[in-house]
Amino acid sequence: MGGVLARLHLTSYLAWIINGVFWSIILIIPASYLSPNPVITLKLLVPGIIGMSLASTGLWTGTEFLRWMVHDGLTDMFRENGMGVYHYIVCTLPVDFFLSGVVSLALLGLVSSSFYGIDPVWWLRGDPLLMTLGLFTLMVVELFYGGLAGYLYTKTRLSSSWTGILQIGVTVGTVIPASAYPLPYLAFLNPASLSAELLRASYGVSGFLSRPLMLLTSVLTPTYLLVGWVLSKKCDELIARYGLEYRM
Amino acid sequence: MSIRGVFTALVYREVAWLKRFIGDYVTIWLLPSIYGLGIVFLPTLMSDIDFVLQRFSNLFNHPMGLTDALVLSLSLSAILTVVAVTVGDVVQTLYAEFKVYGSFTIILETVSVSTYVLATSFMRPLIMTVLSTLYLIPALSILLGPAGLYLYFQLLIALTLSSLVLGVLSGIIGILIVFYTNVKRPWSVSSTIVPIMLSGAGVYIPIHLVPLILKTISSITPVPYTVELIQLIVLKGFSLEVSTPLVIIAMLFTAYYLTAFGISKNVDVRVRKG
Repeated sequence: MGGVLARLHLTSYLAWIINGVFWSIILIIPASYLSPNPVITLKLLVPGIIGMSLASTGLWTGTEFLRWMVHDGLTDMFRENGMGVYHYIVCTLPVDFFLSGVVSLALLGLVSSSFYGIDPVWWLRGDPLLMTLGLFTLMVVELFYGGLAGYLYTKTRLSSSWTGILQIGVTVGTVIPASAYPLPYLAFLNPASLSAELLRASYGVSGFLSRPLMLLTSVLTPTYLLVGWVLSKKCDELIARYGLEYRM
Repeated sequence: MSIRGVFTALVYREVAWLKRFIGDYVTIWLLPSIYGLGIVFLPTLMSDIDFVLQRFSNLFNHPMGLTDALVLSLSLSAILTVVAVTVGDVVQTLYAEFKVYGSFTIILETVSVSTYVLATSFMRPLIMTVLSTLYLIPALSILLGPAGLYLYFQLLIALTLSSLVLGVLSGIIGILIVFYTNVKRPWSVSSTIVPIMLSGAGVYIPIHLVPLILKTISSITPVPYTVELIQLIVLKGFSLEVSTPLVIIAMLFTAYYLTAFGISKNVDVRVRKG
């Protein structure tokens, strides 16, 4: 089912990836150029962009299930077959993870390297364990934000543009490294910050030591999953009780 | 309908849209503000602000304090939303009118395709440039006082000129999408070309640092010349140096206008023949 959805949305995926990568380039290249060590700054900022990418994908996939698909009558059809927002995101997750996560990282690494003439695969040269953890926790990020978008959409009158504003808030929170926060651990209220910090640690530029970060991952990952699941259940309950109207 | 009637209708529509899509406008104002602040403050993750200001000064060959750097980065950021809004708005308006809302027959009964396309290409950018840069009024006023307002009007002239050229270019893209392709998601085209155009123009960095392929794509649009224009206006005021980017923008406008007119005239003949 995820494969069919991905084929249907192939143009959107490509546009989404190119859009995300080049909008990020507009910000991170000058920001790194103005810093004392552009390459280290790139390694600091790119993981944040990837964390943000999956968070945004989660927000919009959750919104898509409750907005466009309501208009087309598909949400009802999915729900009649026992499929809620969480299941929908699980279906799209492998393709989202690959395209919005791995391909975006590769493209961002490649395009940014062309500005500085550095190794085009610098983004692959990190600690394998931390990098794997960083990439796999991106799936948890999408599930969490998909559940959150679903809950907010059904609980409030949140329009798509306010979802965009929430997305900007998450982006800012993720791009800024957790160690730069006045209370660094507060950053992990945002699951995307954990993935970004793991990727930064894999490149050796995180303000956190690897072991405490891995310990934190083992505690926070199930917590994020649980919170995302509870939020999506609440979303399903609200739809069952009040129905769902199509709105922009 | 009189000119006054057209003007009243336009103002009514824009005010109604502003109220209805206020969330979108907040996004349009937030995005460049965050970019403008991010350019100055993100590098401070690695060093102190004095180092960043020194780099900024070297980059633009102009001594800059924090206020100057913020004024420049916020002013340059205005081009981000102007380009995104102009291209997206013109392409999607043309697509919606011709392919979604079914207004094509009414349009053909009233005006020619070329008149309609060129009117859309002029009117939407004129309105949207003002609306999308409103955030600069408080931002520049806080940073510069009353001089900020004067700077805003100077920037508005530069941005409006640029958006007119972009509007006509977007008109060409819109016609090609509507009449010569089978694209079903026009937003995917506009949202792809906008960030490529912008990153190819450098915006906050000298253009010679931009990879050749991106630079080449961007150089056929008014974006890099508008960036140059904004830099000159903010750093030196309306000096004689602004004439070079202005001449290039005018040349691009002429080229795009003639192309848009030719293509839309051809489309007009084709669709009237059925």
